[in-house]
Amino acid sequence: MKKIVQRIYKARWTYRQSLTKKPKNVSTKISDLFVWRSSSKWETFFELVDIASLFENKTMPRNYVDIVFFNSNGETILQRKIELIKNRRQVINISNLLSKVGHIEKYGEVGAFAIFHSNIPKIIPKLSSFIAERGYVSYKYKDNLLCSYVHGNLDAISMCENNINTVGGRGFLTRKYNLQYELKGGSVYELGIVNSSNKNMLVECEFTPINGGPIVTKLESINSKGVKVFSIGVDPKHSYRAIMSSKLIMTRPLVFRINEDYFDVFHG
Amino acid sequence: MSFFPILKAPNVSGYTTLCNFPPNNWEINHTKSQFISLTYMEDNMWHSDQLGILNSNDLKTFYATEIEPLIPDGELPLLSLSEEPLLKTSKQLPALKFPVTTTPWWRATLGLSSQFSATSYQGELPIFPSQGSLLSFAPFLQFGQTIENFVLLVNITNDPVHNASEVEIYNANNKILLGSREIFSNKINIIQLDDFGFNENDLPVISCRNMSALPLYFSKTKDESSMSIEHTHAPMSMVTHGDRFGAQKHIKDLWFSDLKK
Repeated sequence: MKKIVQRIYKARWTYRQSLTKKPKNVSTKISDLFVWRSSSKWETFFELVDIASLFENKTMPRNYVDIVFFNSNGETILQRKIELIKNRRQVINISNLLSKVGHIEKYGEVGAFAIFHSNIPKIIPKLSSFIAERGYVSYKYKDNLLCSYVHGNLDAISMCENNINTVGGRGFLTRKYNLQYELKGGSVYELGIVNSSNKNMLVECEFTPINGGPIVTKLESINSKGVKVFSIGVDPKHSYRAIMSSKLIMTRPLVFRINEDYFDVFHG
Repeated sequence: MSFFPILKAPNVSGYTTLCNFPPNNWEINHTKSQFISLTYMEDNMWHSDQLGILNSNDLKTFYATEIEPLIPDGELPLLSLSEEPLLKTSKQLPALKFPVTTTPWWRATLGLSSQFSATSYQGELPIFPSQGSLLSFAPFLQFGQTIENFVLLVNITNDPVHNASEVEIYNANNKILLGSREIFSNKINIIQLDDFGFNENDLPVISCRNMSALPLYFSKTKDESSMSIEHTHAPMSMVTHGDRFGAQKHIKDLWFSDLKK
């Protein structure tokens, strides 16, 4: 009886509520929805690698990627094709690409982008798999000498024959994501949340004090493919936890920690 | 079953923050206190010392400066949480009675810090099989006269031994071997990557044919005023759904046969 109750309890959270939806068409390409930041303080870069060429060592025609940019409201603002160079590293200056469409004036300082590879190696459909871009974004803050790197980690969006669709799942119930991290005093924290589902989502971020300070709660509505940033400056005497609540299966934030002299970026 | 190492790298110090609350409210209902243990290798045995109890909903940070004096020189400090105390000594890594989640995995903060800055990622360290392999395509190198780049290869296996293996460093473009280094199981193996002549368009390949490891890429300024850490994904992460292990095997077989010593 106890097991049946447990299974029913679990089913409320899992029945027809997968983290990501599996595409039906084998020629579908998948990407994370990466966060771009571009302003007088922030620059964003992407480490582009020809994934298809890593699967096949024969000489192939040049591959390319489609990079699709969204503003913070999830609206497409730019699409670019970039030719890939086999087995080489190509650092794409995302901020420079965006500056060509006057992003700050028109679209703000934050948004999302996705990268879809043109070529699907033959082995991938044979394995019932899909090519996925979960690569590496780096951010530069002010005049810091180093960029801070962070990897993608979610199958968020798909492209098939020029049709773009989100593939992130959503649940029936509001669920919590407890960031297993201490927001220490003396830093400003900016938590970026992307909506990889196909519906507008309400997301609440509760900053709960560990060591003094008031509870701080922020609520944002995030459009599909949109991004919102939840921020808190933590007093040097205090520290906090962050708890995200929404109907997204995993409201995992991208965390920007900003100090007077340095910064750091990582996934929750 | 995962452990949480305390990292190390040149001229900086490691720290690890453990959390006794699950990463979500729907996979498990966990409200128990847990034992904090420090596990390390000595005399070809695993030793586990209890460091205290972490109450439900609490966090605690452990710094290398306080933990390293408790273990033999050069050994890897492994922290863990468990609902039951660990055996004091064992011939295999001790079993943890530890709540499991997958969306996401239960993690800790693994960081490196200096007097001037800090960097961290949310991670955990799985136990690797004694026979495995590593293939990492690493576009993380940063360039400049004041910048240094390292790969930290972190390995733990069940057996309390330091087996040696060889890591090879290649340029993906011409697949020419640029150098090799000896690494050991149950260690953090630190390799400086500035010595191999990579330029900004090169894609470094880090390869090991008979040992698995977590490859962490760490860059810092020489004065430690700025730093960054991140790991590469396993090759299977280049695909989603279906037989991802099959995709990983395909890439590894292809590259291990192409990368000539």
